[in-house]
Amino acid sequence: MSFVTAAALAISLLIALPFAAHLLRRGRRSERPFPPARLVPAHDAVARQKSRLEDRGLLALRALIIVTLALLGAVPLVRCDRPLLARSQGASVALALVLDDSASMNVKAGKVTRFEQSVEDARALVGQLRPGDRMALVLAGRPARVQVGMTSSRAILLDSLAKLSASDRGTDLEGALGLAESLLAGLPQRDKRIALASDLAAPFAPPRSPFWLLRPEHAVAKSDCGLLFAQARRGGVTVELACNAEAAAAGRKLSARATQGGPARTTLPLPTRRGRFELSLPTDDVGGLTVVTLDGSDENATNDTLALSTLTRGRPIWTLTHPTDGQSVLGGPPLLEQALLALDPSVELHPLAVLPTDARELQTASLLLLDDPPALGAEQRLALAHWLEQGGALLALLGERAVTHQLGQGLAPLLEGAAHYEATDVADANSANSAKVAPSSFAWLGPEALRLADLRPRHRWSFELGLRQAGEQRGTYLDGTPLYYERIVGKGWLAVVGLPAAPSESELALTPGFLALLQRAIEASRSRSPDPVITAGSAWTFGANPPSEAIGPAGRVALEPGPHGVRAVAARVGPYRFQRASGSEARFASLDAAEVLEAPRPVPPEARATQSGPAPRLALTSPLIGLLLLLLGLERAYVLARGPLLARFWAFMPWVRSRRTHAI
Amino acid sequence: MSAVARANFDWNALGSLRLRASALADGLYVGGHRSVRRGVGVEFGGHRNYVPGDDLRWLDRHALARHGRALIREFETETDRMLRLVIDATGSMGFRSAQAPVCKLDYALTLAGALARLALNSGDPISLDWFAGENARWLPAMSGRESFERLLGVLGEARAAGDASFDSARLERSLATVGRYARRGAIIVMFSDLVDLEPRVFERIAALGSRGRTVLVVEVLDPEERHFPFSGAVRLRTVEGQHVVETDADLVRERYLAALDAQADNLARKLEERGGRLIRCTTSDSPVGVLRSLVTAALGERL
Repeated sequence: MSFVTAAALAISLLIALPFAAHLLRRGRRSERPFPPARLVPAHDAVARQKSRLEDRGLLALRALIIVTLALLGAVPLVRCDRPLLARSQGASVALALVLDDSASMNVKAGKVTRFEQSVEDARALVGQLRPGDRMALVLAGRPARVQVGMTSSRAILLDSLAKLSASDRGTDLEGALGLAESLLAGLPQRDKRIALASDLAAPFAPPRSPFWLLRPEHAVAKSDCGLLFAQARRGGVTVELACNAEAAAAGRKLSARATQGGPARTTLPLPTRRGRFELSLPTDDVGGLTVVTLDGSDENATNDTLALSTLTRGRPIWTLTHPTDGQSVLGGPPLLEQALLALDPSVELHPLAVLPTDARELQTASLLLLDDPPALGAEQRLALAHWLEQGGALLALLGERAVTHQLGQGLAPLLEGAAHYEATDVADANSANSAKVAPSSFAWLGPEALRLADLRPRHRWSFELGLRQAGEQRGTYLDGTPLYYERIVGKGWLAVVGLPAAPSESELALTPGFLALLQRAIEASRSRSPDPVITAGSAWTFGANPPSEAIGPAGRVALEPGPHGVRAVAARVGPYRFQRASGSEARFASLDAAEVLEAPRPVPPEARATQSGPAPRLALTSPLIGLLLLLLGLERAYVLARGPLLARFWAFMPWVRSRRTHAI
Repeated sequence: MSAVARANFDWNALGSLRLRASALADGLYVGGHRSVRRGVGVEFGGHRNYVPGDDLRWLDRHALARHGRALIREFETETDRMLRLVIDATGSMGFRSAQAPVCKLDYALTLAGALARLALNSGDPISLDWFAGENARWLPAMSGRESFERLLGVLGEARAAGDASFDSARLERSLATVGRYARRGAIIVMFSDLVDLEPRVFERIAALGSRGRTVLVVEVLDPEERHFPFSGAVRLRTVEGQHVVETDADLVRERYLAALDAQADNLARKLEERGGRLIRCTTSDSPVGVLRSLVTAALGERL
């Protein structure tokens, strides 16, 4: 509230004027000489009458008018606490509301959290919908998702808002804005807008549609230290945490306790630093420890307490790439690794120089990615086949190095039929050997498959597929030659792409379809050997032996069917327990470090409007003006009705004050 | 008497009013009116201090030679029909409300002057006594044309002052002096608002009516005092003393008026027991009417 606003509202203090007038008038009742005053009996009620407020109704009316005047004066200066859905010439509105339900929205904004405030704002917007308006609700917690599609039903929207709850998810603002734009596309309303309820603590590009940040004050950094993951190990507790400011860590301590609120069993001062780091709390006995706390306070207390886990975080993805062919022209890690990090920055990569020849060496691998591998020896083929049978997931991008020239080498179990590596006609796109990809054959991959049609590989693998492989997915060139196929091998999953990632061979690694294929491989591996520790917002997928029940930190967790099996999304940080046929299984969801470290992005000027659309301030103040005039009229009528009209007239004359007048 | 009172008084309206001697009065009749002489053969009535203008024939030279004090010998003549004017000039008599034409003292002085003139015209002597007051000079019994001018001079200088509520003993002493010097057959006319007078003072006033004297009390009130026209909450303060009362005028009006009447009735009863009368008036009443009532009362009781 600005000084001017406060000054305008301070006018309401003039409510004391009627009281002062009463006191002054009371003081004017001076003594009058009256010789036989001794014969006049005193009356007890007079003292009370003197102190009593005369004409309470008039006093209340005047006070009300003063308050109304103060509010009227302050209205143009006060930002409306509730979002106002203004309309251009009264036209219908199509509104996509992007509601950020990530962990960073759990910061307190007054008495409630930012998330709760945003939900209230959303309710206020729903309340302003009129017939003909449409509204959709998109959640920006990772993964971005459509909570309610475009609808004109207030009941559906309010019901959906009532079911929303805070989460510890990461933020996918860009994805949410993309969904919002896609929801707005094709609607008949001319006035299409995106309302954004977020702290902007994630990268995003302003959408093409007009957008409006409901509360710019949310996009302010709060000093925060948060616990990401805590693991009990032999000899101590390892804690991962993140601080976005040194001040947030200053003077604080890390403690491990048996119960929340109980005495600390082991304590460690927090180093005054910012960023993500790991600390070890030494203790000989970790038994009985259940919780880790950050003593002291910062501006976000929701991530200062974390349950202790006994699970090990992460299962690495094993990669085998050519040391030079897999690199981009700008250097850096191989393209395959860059793509994996783009999908999940916290992924643990395990690069291989050669393929293991013993299946036991692959036990810890959840996913094996081979980029242009050489032809496999007999031991390697057996090890891979055994590992796949046991539930491994493998994606192989075949290239020139897979061409075998040695006896005993082969591509089994990657390719079981006849296969050969051939050159393509890049220059003539209409040639029969031009190797153009048929996008329709990759329709199962989603919209990312569209760019695959532009691929012009110099060479390609041409292989035959057996008819027995039912239920597999395929992708082919226009001439029918297979480019991609996947199949189930025992408990495992195998996928083969007839092109390498090397940009010298094709642009495959630079297309969105490549990321989609990698994501598919990751999900396939997780469905077979899910990582017991994931970041909040991710999901566990159970391909086989799905759980019958899942309990998380916030209670029962919904089990949803997915393409690779049953999915359970970890919305909150903490321990999860899944009841499966083989017994109870523990999992854990950690906090995404970005929710602590990411600073809010600057608010675009066009998103700073105090309300959506044109600003009809007059519409807001006109009722107040009318109310004020009505009150003034009532007050005058009241005064005139209280006494003779002539007496009121004389009361108005400032020079006629000899008689006590009741009210002016 | 103030210039206002003089100007407002309609002497012609008094007509043929005369103070005549009572039929019961013992004494000589000379012509149509009683003699004012204190002549030979009358009963000695006592001494008093000499004041300028006294007849030197009554100067007690023996007392002057023996004590060095100029004393006048007074005799009670049974033909005397003296008019003794007693005027209350305490502070409350100076009260005048916004609606009143004059203050109570001025009104009383007007009445006193007019009454004195009637008496002097009839050849009766007059004297003047005061309750409190400022420049209130006592006048002995006197008669003659010049007496009226002398009386007016004294009346014109008097101002209301003094507090009867604090000095009732002084008031009683004044009444005792009046009683001592008023002779048989004298008419004592007292002008007062009767405010702040204690009940025993009423007894003293009524007691003046003994020994064949007639006591007339004129209660002079301001219209505001008589009608109590206030409304709502009021804060009232006495003129004499510092008594303050806060009250609701509408609620206590009847009780006040009843108390005022009770006080007047009390005095009136006491006066009537001794042949006296109480006449009530306000300063907004016509002085002529009050004077008629006075003369009628004085004559009606004794004729």
